Amino acid sequence: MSSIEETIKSLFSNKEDTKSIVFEWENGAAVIKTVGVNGLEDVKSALDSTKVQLPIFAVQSIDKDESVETQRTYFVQLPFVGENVKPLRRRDLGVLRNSINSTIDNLKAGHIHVTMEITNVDEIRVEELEKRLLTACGSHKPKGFKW
Amino acid sequence: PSMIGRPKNSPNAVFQPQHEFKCHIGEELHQFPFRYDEFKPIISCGIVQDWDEMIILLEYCLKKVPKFDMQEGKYTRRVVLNEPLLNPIKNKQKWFEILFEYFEFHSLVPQVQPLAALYASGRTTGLVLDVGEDCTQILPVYDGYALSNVMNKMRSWGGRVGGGDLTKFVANLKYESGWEFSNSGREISKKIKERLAYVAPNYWKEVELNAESSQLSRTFELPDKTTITIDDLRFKCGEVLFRPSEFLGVDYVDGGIDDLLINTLLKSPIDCRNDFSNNIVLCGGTALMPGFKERLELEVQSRILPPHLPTPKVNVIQQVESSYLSWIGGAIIGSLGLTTHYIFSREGYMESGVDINRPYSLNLS
Repeated sequence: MSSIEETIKSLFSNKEDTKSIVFEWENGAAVIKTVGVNGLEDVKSALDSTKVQLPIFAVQSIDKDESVETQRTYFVQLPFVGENVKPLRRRDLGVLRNSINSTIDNLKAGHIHVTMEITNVDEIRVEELEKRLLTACGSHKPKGFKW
Repeated sequence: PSMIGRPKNSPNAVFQPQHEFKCHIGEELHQFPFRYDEFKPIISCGIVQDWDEMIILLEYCLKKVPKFDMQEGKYTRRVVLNEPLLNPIKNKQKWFEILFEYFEFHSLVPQVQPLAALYASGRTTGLVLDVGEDCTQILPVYDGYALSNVMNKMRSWGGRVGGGDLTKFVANLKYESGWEFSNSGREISKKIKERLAYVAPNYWKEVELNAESSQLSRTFELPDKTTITIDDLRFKCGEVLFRPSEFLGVDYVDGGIDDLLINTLLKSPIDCRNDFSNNIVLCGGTALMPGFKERLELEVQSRILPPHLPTPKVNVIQQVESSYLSWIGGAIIGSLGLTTHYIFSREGYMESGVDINRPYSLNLS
């Protein structure tokens, strides 16, 4: 099993500390740029405006009642094309996305719940992501999310 | 530009035995505009008007491609055909015929221009507004899948609105005010449009400002070194896109560009509207006009309110390479390892002709 597959499994397993992975496309293959333990914050610091990247990170839902506390993990993908990426290099996003998504499918590791395409860090809108996550949660309606 | 000029019978004109050298093409025309009998646009409203001239243009373009051997390349190269939305079937068939039978290319990947432009901007979801020279078209794409039931072109009884109409508008207005340009008039009007025209955030405020003072006036130098003053024409030219019926005197079925955009947004499924309004990708040279992006944002934000747009946030994306975005997208698509679903081979064409019913060119995911 390649290091990419192992890292994806560790992100989706919920048992390990891995909370985010940022992928890049180099020399015709996907590579891991960073692996973080703080979710969205790590992703924000890893984004590079001169590159095409594919971050995936985990979000914990907070659902606490008087007697019961439920925690579920959701996964967000942020396909990122930096503002300074050369026009013809933007094609890397399509192949990188297909490559990583098919690896996730083949491993049957889990599902990406929400995808938001961005070109800079300011476009990551937590409120919008929360709205989309709530829609993706189905009948489970958590009271909030831990970012 | 895709234009051909036939030289006048003058001592300066260059005549060669081969038919392709009897005419001048594209930028060559602008060097000596007075030498030609006529400027003939080959493509109008995204549709080829004269196929013989189109073959000459394609041969000319292929000769300009560095390191491209016509004899060797034609059997091995794949061609990406960037076609406009709602391209007539006959036009499609003719393209297949020419590229496979006359040029004998190996394979063909047809693709619609707005989808290629979206791909070039690095997105798979968005609303592409392509304001080109000949026509204005709009296509919503969600996760690589085009919403073909919502796509649209700006239509009127007289044609479609594009940058060419603005050039004609400038030429007509200058003619009315006493400036009569000769053959080079179109080129001069185009330069005036490109250098001085802009889209005003509020048209009537601009009219008032222009009446009160001369701060909006600019001078433009003609090739014979005389100068002309351009004032209200600067913002009227941009306003044509938003109120074409008023300025061009023709009834436009879908109204202005803002109406076209808003109607398309409202026709889209409500769950997708926020994604579209956050990713309105501009494409085409006219979309680079100063103030165009801001005016569009203003119009959409003020005219679509909740609940029609769940989150009233509008983001219009205007890139420096907007003019070439479709071409860049085509280049990207050509370089990808596509599956056979997207590729039409010459072998298949020679065997069974064009299967025009085969669904193609609308999905890329």
